[in-house]
Amino acid sequence: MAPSRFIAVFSSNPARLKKIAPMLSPRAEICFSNGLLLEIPPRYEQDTLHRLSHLVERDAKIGGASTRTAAIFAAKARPGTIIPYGKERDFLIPLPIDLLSIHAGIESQLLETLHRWGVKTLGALAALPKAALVARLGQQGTLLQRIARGEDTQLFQPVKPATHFEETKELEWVLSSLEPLTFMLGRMLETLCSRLQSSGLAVESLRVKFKLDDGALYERDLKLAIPMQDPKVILSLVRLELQTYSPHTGITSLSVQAEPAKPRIFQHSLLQPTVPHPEKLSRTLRRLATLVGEENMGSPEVLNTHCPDTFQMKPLSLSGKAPGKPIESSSFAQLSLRRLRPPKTTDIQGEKIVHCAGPWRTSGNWWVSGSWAREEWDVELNDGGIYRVYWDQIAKRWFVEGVYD
Amino acid sequence: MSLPLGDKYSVALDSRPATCDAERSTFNVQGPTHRDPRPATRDHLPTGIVELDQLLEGGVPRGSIIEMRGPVSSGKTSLAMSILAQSTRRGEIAAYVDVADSLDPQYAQVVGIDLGNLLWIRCANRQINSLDPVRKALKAADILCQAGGFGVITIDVATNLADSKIPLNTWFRLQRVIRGTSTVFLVISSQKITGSASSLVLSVERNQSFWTSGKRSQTMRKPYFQGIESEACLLRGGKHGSVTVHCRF
Repeated sequence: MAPSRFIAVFSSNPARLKKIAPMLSPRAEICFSNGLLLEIPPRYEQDTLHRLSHLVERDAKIGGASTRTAAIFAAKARPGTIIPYGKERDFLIPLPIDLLSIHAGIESQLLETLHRWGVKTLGALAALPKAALVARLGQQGTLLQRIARGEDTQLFQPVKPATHFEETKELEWVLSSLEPLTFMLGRMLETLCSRLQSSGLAVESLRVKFKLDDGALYERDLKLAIPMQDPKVILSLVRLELQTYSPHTGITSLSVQAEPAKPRIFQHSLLQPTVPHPEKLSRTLRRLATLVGEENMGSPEVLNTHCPDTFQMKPLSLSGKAPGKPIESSSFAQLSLRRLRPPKTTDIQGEKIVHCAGPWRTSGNWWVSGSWAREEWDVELNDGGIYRVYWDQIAKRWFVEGVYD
Repeated sequence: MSLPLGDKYSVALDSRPATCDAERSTFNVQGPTHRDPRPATRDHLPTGIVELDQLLEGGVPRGSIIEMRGPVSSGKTSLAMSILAQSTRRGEIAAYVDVADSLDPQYAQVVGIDLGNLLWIRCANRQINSLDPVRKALKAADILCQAGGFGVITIDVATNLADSKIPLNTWFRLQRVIRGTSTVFLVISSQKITGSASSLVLSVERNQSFWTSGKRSQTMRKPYFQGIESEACLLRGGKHGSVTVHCRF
């Protein structure tokens, strides 16, 4: 098998180079911010050069060789040169060593040293004894010499083209029930997941789009708890979503679009406590959301305000954070309050009160809408309950906020 | 009242409201039955209260149903919160199935619960699903048990049992699911509901409450509520006994 050929192109319009790269070769690397390196089979070299000459500007510098380093030197030193296979070293011999400055990591002081030694060309540098060069310049010396000989010192890193992961199906009949829809979606998700798996990716979020019988477009976005690759799990989540939010009429075409992400490797640890498996947890959360509603479940987060009972619900996530320090056992428990939502209006009757303490006055947000001002009391009633009640200074009423338990 | 069933077995049939002493004598499971409530794993989760852990020989057993019951302001929720704090701080994921939407996140944070590891399921909202909150909570608990991997699953039915009768086989089914796992299934209630499906029954009753008087207090001129003293009585699971637990701010 003949070795690959490389074509280097430098242009004053790098954006144009990025745009044309996929048209010329599936393996292209952006180099030196304004250059492009194309890897092509030898038999397509002439064809690629011909197409390239039509696609880039007239002032673009093009060079070709069997190594990337030689191709870059050819484009920079003598634009339009195509070095035949095996002739790279001969081509580089007369070139000045100042060309090495285009490579990142080569200091100008090093080139000055070489000039002082009388080394003016790449050929002279390549001919120096390796051991003596390393003794004087260290590993930098080896690197310089390899570049001067036209050898590649770094791996080729081709730009991966952005892939669009979408499956679409036009139907010849109208789908109006969940079972056949699930079957169709299952087949589409299998294809989608196998495409993602072959690229080493997983589904992070999914957009399901239906074209309805009445011409309307129906869309549902499904954000997964973790990137997944198993089509069966994803299908069960989509099914639960569609059970809750089903389209109002029949479907004539369907499309599934996946947002890819790197799959997360999940491994149980012997030293950490057991947690639900992410895929299972994702399915569980979806089932719970169907049962109680998405806004009624999650992890509560206390907001930074003195306003009572102010919090927001966040989706539960297995962040993989290290467990906190366990709480030391103590001889007492922290007293908790069971809230009444919404607070219950009440009439305080003095004869029922056994103990009381207060008032504790709080107020806030008086500078904006939604202000509160209240006087809190802790009261023990003769029914045995200890309650937190408050006098709402705005509503001018007594409320029971909760019961200590 | 207890009925003898053969030479070896006897089970309790008692529907009276429980007091510690009365109930201790009636629960008399002497041998394994086909509804064996004993957990398959002997791992324990500490409650975070030294005296209670001593009584429970290390904490509440995993893989079993724990019933924590008591009247209003008895301190049962405080004890449950302490268990949840112990679980979430170890990195476990805990679930709180809330029938009456009574959890206060601010207090939960003060108790020491890692809110990031807590899944709070609020069942009181009927807009999404017209199902009765208790039925909804039981269904949610069932889903959680089936998922597995939770450290503690708490179902709080302390205030919503007036109209709902929960069949006993519901608890047995849940007990079957979590048996052998490391999950503690905690039931907070105001009355006896889990029957013999629970491996451990802790009855909590308040002895007294503590209030400072404004005159005696050196630091604060106003009187304030300090906390409560409760008697936690172990009715089933381990050695019977009771300890005094203080719940305070």
